Amino acid sequence: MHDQKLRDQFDDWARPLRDTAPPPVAVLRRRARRRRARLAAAGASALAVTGVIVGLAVSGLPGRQDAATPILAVTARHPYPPGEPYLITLDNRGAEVRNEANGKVLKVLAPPRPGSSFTWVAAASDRLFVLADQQDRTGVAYFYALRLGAAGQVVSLRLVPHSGAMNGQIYGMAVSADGSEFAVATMPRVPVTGPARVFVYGFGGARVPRGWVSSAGGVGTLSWAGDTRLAFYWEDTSQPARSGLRILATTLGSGGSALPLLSQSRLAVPEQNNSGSAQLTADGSTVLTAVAEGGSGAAASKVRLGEFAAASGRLLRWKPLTGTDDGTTYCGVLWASRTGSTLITQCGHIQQAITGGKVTHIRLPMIIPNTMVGDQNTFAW
Amino acid sequence: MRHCGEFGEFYEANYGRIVAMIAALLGDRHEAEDVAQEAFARALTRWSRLAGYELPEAWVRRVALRIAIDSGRRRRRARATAARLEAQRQTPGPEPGDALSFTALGAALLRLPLREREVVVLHYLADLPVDAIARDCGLPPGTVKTRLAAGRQHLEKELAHFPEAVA
Repeated sequence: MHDQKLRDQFDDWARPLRDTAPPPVAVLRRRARRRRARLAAAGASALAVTGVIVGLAVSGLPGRQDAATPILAVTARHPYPPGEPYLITLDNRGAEVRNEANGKVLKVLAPPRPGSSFTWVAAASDRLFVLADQQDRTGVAYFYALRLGAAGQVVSLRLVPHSGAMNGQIYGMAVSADGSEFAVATMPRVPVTGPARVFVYGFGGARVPRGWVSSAGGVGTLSWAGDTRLAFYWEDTSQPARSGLRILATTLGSGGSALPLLSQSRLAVPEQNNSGSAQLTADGSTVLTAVAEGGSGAAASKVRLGEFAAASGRLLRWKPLTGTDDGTTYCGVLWASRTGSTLITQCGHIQQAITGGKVTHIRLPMIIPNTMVGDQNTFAW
Repeated sequence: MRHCGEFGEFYEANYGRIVAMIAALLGDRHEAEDVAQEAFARALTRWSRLAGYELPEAWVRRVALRIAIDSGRRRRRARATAARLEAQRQTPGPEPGDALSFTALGAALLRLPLREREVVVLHYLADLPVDAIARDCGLPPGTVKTRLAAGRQHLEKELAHFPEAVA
């Protein structure tokens, strides 16, 4: 067959597809917002783990400055976060429990309700995870607390009492450092408009859920510090200049009142250049976020890591972030020590540990995908 | 340098092409639209930078390809579709709803090995030269040529199962 004849066949075959009308740009905007929220949730999950690990280390081992110190000594296994050897990824099959050292799937957990699917996951300490299963049609959300054993086996999967109808679609989840509560951010479903909400639930169900309502715009990218502070990105769609990071004191007021913001700080980073997720360190002092440097013709962009003061939003310093952000693999902070002095980052195929000014590259046994197609595929550890 | 407001024009001009390319890879129009929307959503968030690129559509094409491949859905979809096609081949009278994959070319494409299908689609459908495919796929040009030759040979062989396609 001649090349031209084959090309003609392809042209004929593709013609009706090439005429496909694209959906409105607003649909893309919502997808992009959801993707950012998912990426951030994954990063925030690691932070929740950090808080407890560091807390235990500090309280139980007097004189130890930072639980992350042993990281650099580890060369043969996946080093993040210290002491948590399993992570969970979600895909169409359900929740996959993976050995972080080699990426091997140890167990696939199907949602308990037939025909449903897990849509979010967030990690706490001590191999505790929270899984959300939200129905697209009704908005009803079921939350499950999953406990893994030391060998990665499923010890328990129980329904959290607060499961029920949610006033919107889940855009973010985070677990408190002590593993006693979890936060959920929601936004109205398309085409409904309205405020975003943040809820905080207790795992046991005994405590009354607390909730806050934003004055406008959307909320996502939850990140819980080691205490009661919860950081999130607030996106004001009507006045983009007002968008930025906010910090909520979860012990203050609730009951549908406007978000009582502990900090009015905003990161001095244009939203479109925020390459990865934002993380509030466990001590609540610092926000870390990957920022694209911009490009001029390359298919992927170089990125660097911005360290911002949580209280003021002021840029403190830039840190090196080796790798390029091509939009297909995770690029950002995977794990941060309590003060942010020690970091594990990943960008594309390159993972690095940063302690002070020293950078150590680590060979990745597994690439963390960034293919948030549709409602599926997120991860936590 | 394009302005941010030009994203809409860029999106409308290129959306269908990306859908067609991914549909040829996946054999599923709905899946292809999903992947294309995801790729353009990522482009939208980076438009201030992409707008300065000489060929922003190349970035979108590359990301869409990666999404389609990395998602793992493609392999499952392709296997399921191939099995369905096999059953249909033995039972004449395909359903109209399967028109996309059951055209001779669509069916033949899905029977190609993935690595060959990818370069064949990029060459014949996206109209890319070998060196551009090599950049997109991260392969040496020689490997692309080898896969292209093998893919074309296999495609002709598969199309022979559908006499109307080669008539």
